Amino acid sequence: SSYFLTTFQIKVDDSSHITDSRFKTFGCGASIAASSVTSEWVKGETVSEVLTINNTANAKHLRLPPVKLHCSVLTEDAIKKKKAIADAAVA
Amino acid sequence: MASKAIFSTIRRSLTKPRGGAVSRGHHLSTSAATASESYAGDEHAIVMKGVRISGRPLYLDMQSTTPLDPRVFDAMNASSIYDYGNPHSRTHLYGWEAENAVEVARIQVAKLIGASPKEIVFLSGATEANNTVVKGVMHFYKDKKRHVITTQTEHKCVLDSCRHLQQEGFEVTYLPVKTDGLVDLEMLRDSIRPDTGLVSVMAVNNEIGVVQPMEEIGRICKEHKIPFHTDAAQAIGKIPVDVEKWNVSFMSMSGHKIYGPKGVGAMYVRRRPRVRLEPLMNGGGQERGLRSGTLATQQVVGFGVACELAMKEMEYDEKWIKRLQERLLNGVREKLDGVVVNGSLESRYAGNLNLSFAYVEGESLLMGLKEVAVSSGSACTSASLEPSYVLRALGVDEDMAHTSIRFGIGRFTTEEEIDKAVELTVKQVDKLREMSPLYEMVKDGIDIKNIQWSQH
Repeated sequence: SSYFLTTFQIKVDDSSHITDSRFKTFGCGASIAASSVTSEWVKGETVSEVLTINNTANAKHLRLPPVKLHCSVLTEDAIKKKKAIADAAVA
Repeated sequence: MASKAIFSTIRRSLTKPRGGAVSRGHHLSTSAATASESYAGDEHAIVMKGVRISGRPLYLDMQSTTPLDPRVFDAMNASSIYDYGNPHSRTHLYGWEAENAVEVARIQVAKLIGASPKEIVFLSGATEANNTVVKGVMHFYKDKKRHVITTQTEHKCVLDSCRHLQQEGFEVTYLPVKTDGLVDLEMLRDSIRPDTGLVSVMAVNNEIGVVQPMEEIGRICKEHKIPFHTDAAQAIGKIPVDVEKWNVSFMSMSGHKIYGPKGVGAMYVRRRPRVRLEPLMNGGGQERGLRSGTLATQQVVGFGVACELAMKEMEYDEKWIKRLQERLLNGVREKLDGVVVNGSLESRYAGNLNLSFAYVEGESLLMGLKEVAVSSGSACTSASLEPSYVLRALGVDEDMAHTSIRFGIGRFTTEEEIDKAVELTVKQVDKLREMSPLYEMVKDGIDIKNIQWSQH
């Protein structure tokens, strides 16, 4: 199994829109790319939109080879499970 | 100083790219030579497989293969043109000359390892030699001997041959190694059974460079009268090898690891006491019946010359390489913390430096080090997504096993290359650590061992 750790930080405004996002990743090149793309794409979306994100668009954009598809899956997991998202949704 | 300059010039001009993929408007020098210039010169850039680099990378991957020594090339060149006869043709001058050339090479190889030329069999490489010995010995003695002992850190070809034997019904003990990569001699002793037919332990490990206690293992095997095979592909010409001192019955050798050509290797098969093995290649009975097939004279000649040069220059090479290894390790340690050397630093071949950089993943580091040709033990770089089995056997933590880089230093490596490699490595590691949540956690005092990794 390969190890991939990523953290996202997002700035949310009063209307639940994401105004800025940052990421940190420990992982292979594909995982860094996948988390970078995700952090770019969430800018401007609302928190609830992000919760419906799907990893296939990410994988397609990066043209990830089959052996690296899990990188985009894990990224999707991370952005959804993100504590920041959960907190923002509550607020 | 002058001779080093000559060598690096020869190497540079001999390793000029051939083939259409690369633009050849300019004499492409290595990144070390362009070190003093900026990378702005786009005319020098190489684009291949979607990667753009400013010049040819520094070659620091000596364990995977070595460049051809120009002197070996000279010998092979002449031999290719003139020694075209079949060395097994008994009836005319062309055969006799080719045979002579082969016999000269045989003596050169034998001298390097302290054997008699009659005990050297030429074949296509260490992989073939390993296959021939492991399978051939056990097949020969299959009625009485059903057990093989080897280590978990052997080269894939030995492990795979053993797996093949297991499928045939033999039993194999894969000895674990200690955290420094060395075999535990007591464990070896304990695993010996009355039906053990072969012990196979590589002399120098290709991934981590550790040198096994060969004399001790040889002594144990002699005590129990078990043939001792060693894969010495990474050892010959680099550390002193003596088949008598080590008490080996079989040894595998490779040409392209000692600045010789690819596609050739040799197998040492002891004559006294005699050990038998079933050949893998049947045919006209060449090479004492152990490996049929016409020898590639110029490959064999090249291998012989490489061995002779290695014997002459071993001491000098060792001093030079040790110096560069220290320069590399100290250079990196000065600027970075969390640098771990994988495998024993004392019982080690200096030219192999396998380092783990904590909190940084190996494949992403390699991607950023496109200007240094090195290799990694990380999962992502191997096709199977499994981290290197050698590092696993060392007991390296999962997160560290993913971060290893193997630097290979050789006869022709220069100080400038080492300095440039240090600079590039430090830069990349710093950049990736900035991006790494693990590093951030560590700096904040969180114990990263407590991370719950979820399975996918």
